Amino acid sequence: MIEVIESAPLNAVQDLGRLGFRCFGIGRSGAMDRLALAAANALLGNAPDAAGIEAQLFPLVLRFTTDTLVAVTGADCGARLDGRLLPPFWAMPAKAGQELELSPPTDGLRGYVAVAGGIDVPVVLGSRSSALRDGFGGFQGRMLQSGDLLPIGPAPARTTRDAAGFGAASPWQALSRPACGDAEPGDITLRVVPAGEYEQFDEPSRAALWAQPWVVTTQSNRQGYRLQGDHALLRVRPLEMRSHGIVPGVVQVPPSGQPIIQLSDGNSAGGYPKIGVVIDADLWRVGQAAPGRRLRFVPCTPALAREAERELAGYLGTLRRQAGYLRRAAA
Amino acid sequence: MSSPVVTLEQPRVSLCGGSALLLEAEGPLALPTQMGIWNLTDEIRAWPGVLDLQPGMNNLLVVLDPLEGDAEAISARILARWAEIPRERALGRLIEVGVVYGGEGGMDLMELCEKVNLSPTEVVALHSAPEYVIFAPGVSPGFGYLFGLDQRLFCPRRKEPVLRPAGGTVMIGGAQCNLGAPRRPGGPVANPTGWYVIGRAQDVPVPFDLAMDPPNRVSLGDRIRFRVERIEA
Amino acid sequence: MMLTPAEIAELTALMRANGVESLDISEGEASIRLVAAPGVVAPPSSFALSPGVGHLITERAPGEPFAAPGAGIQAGDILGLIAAGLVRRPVIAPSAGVLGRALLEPGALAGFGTPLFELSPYHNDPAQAGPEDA
Repeated sequence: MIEVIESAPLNAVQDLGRLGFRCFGIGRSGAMDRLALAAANALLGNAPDAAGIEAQLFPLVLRFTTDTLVAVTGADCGARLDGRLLPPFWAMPAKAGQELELSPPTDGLRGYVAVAGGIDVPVVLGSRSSALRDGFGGFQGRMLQSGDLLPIGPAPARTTRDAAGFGAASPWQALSRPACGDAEPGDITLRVVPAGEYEQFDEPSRAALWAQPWVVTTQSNRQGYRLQGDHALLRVRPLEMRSHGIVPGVVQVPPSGQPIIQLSDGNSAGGYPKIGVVIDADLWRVGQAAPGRRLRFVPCTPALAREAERELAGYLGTLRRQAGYLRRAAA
Repeated sequence: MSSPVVTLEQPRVSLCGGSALLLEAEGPLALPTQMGIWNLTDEIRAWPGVLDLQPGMNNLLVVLDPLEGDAEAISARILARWAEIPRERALGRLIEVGVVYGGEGGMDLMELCEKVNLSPTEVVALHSAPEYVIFAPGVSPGFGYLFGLDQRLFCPRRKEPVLRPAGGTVMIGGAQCNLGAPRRPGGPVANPTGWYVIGRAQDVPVPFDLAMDPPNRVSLGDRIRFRVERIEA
Repeated sequence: MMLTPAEIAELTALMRANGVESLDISEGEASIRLVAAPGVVAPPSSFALSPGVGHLITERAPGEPFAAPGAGIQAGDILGLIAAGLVRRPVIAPSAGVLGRALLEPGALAGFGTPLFELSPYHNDPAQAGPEDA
């Protein structure tokens, strides 16, 4: 078990999300930085769909009631195991009674904690993700609070070759940054496929989508990020849209002209015109973009999106293989 | 004055990112077209590379495997099947709910009346007249998007979403209307929406229950009738 | 037989780390003897060694070293990482002490057992006392 000693609100059990239940109006949920959670599972040798804890408000303090292997990935939350600072993207043995504490990250937004065997909450509609708005999935359909006891799934008893554990190159270090001509070093660049209503926007708006920075506002959360840009996005002739299904990454443009990126807990359907969609392979970057961060959009195609997806799969596959050499059976 | 609703002369499939597609049917919102959407949904579910499906209003979202799904090839296949898919199907059961229009529960009724230039009595009469059909799933498990709204009640969504109390809300947005599920114990007390809340249904049946298998208590094609309990100022 | 200056440096560091005064290496006809200069051998110093082949990382985040030269170190502290492919292994302090300089430039390639950091024991001088002495 993992005992939650202390948790700020909004921290919850997540996996890669829920698929196959959109016919009920149920969206994906799941980790905002799915790549970080997948990397944690790769470090531990877990199944790719094992559930972990998404920490987005701090502190998060956990106590292990059994010996296990733990991995902490995502934003560098200065994780400490019994007070000892862990490097970022790190996996190591945790002994029964030890406490893991995550603090607010200075860069990035969300940290992930995974354990060998995964967080073994019940699978609801094909996933262990928390669907907080609808109150199911995850741990009792809600965010974590102190006193919660999270079950750990079965896993072979394993430790690490180095007692202090081992780590991984973060996706920021290992993956190529989508090229964007005049982006500043701190800008997060995202590949966007133009969507159904792209052509309805006037030429200056279409140009501004790609040319100007979009600042993440404080009205940003797991449902979606509201962005702010100098030039509002306007349509030549406003048309009412019929409601349609929405996937995470859809860039909706309400009549104000300031776009919203729909994300993991976003509405599964909606009717604001969509100018583009951030590709799946770049959504993890959005999940780590804190308010005030500048986003830049780069045009993309389905073929390039698949290429980006392959790069992610390659990173995870290599990590999984190389991490396997650094774990061994526990004595 | 409402904006014109997008109506296509030809069906089209557009990209929703690298790994999702949106089929938009030709013509206005119509029951036979929607029956075609439901039939196509059932058929595409078995296609390789397809992970999830969501019927919308006159449209269908198809979610593909981001690694394996070939968006271009599947687009062409969807359009080809859409041309042939049967546009008939049986409707489901009738659900009747009593509604208190206006007042605290229907806080946006007066605002909507101004927008559509009708009196509250006229709006309520037009809204409660038809038998609506559940056309598509909504933003969370519930009664979904309803078809049958009188076009005199069409009203563009708000420029910015506002927070409205959850539970049994009767709403109009654009050319659509819907009915909110009862508030779930422990669930959110309010939700952001760009729609107008014109009333509140008193005894709404629970539309979705995870203790049941399957969990949905209502299905696409079920019908809803709103009974006027009263109109409040 | 040829030894590069880097290999000689590595071997002498290993000799110091293990208190070896001289080392004979032969290969076929050729042989070489490495003798440590008097006074250099043996404790006081100890060394943190590379756990494997890879490139040295000295910062846990940009501008944030795992430990700065002169810092008091506990046995088991992570002083750096060795990066190979996508994985990183920890460089561990074998004993408590004061961290000396890194013996390798950040980013440079280390072999298995390459000494990477020098550790001096805490002195009894209270001004330099480490946490254990305090």
